Amino acid sequence: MRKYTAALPFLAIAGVVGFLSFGAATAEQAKEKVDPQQFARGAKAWAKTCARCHNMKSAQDNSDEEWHVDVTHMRVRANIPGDVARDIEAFLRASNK
Amino acid sequence: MKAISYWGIAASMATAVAISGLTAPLYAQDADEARLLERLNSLESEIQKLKEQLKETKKESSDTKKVAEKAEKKAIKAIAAKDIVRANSWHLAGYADVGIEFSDGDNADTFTSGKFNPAFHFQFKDIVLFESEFEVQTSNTGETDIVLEYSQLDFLLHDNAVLVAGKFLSPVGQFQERLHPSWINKATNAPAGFGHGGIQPISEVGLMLRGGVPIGEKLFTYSVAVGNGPRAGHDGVELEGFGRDDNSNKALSGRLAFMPFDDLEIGGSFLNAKIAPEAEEEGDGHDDEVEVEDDHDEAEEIIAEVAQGDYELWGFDLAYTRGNWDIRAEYLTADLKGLGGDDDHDEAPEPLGWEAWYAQAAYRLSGVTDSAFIHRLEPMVRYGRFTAEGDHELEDELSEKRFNVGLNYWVSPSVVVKTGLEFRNYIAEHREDDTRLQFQLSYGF
Repeated sequence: MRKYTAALPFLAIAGVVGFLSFGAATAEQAKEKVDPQQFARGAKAWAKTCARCHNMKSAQDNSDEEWHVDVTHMRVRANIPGDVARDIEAFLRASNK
Repeated sequence: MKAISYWGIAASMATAVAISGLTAPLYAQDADEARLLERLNSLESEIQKLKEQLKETKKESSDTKKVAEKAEKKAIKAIAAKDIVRANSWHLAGYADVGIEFSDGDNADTFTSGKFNPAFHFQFKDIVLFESEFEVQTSNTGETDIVLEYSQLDFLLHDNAVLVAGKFLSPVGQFQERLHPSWINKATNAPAGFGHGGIQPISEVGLMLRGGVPIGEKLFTYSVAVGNGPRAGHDGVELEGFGRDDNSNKALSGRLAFMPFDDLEIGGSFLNAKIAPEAEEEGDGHDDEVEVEDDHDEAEEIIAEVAQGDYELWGFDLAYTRGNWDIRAEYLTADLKGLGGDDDHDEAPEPLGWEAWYAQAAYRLSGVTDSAFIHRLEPMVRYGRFTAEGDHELEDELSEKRFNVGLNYWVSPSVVVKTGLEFRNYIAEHREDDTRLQFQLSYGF
């Protein structure tokens, strides 16, 4: 019985994962649309989100590919919602040229 | 003398009254018309002014619209100009630090080799991220220590949910997960009780579900982990991620946080676990020791017969980061009950307890003067306390009050030179207090 009880958290997580997986494809489709307001939203989110923990690095510090990965890393570490992370990434990639 | 004709006077007065009575309305009508005309002129003038203002506003609006359209075109062009990112992309990040420390206590004045923490991030599309960080440093005896800080796969399930699997930094509290890298930490080291050997869990091995959920303009975040959990150890409980569990009970930990404003974050953390009695890697002949072998089955069987302890931790933290201010506070308390008890003899070992907290404030002097040098300075202050209860040896070894005051110079947003004074006040009477002067150069990359 103890073994089954220990497995309950995993079953709960598996259920949540199954439910949430539907959202992954939707999120990937949404990011392809060019939204002119994304730059402004990204700039604002970059300023208020990153500074919660550390100084903000310059957009020129990283290439597009590096920002793509770095922002995902920070999305996970700082619990940033995916749409906000995409805005920040768009702003940084548009500002590092 | 000519007699006064009262009738004549009366008649004259009557005539005058009659004339004035007839002409008064005429005069009043003229005055009203004059006022009306004056009012009309005034209104006409105001309308004219309003027309001019409207014209100016229209022009400004048109100019603003042109600027906005230009900015929008620029934004679209900039966003469209971004490079194509490969399906498999990666990034090398991390940090390194070196330092020197002078002490008036028993410790010798010393250079510190510091740490080199490379972090590797590999991402496949917007589906999965693998991230791993090593901590490499030279030990006091000259050996090179390499520790795997974390090695985790992050599955991006949803905008509001990420599933993390592997070894990850503990989500409990804010210092360990977010603030411990030396280029982020405002002081040269961790607050008392928040580093290795402290109350704050360092890492965990297992699964974690985490994310951020917007509620209107506010943000709620969650991180909930199930993992192998802590083990009994030298300092009572070792709160690091272990590659294999020594009991089947999984530890549940996490942090929930809320941001009522952009600048304020309030979080609450917890950890609940079963702790098996301390195991020895190699037995030295004592009958009561529990030996852990490679296959672990025998050891787990023996451990199952000994009473496991209940470890419970909770705490809260807050962060206020507005403008030049960076203010943080964190509190954690934990206790361990029933470890090593014997049900047959009704023996209840004394519970162990830990408590730690700190509060710190830093202020960046940018904008205070015209001096570029002063703009880069950041004074900081931190006070904290760590106490242990239930075991005299542990109490003497761990309990202390720590006060830090420092001045940081930011060479760039991720390169900092820190100077600090640290006052350590040990609670054990036989331990001499200690004051340290510290310098550290840290670079986050």
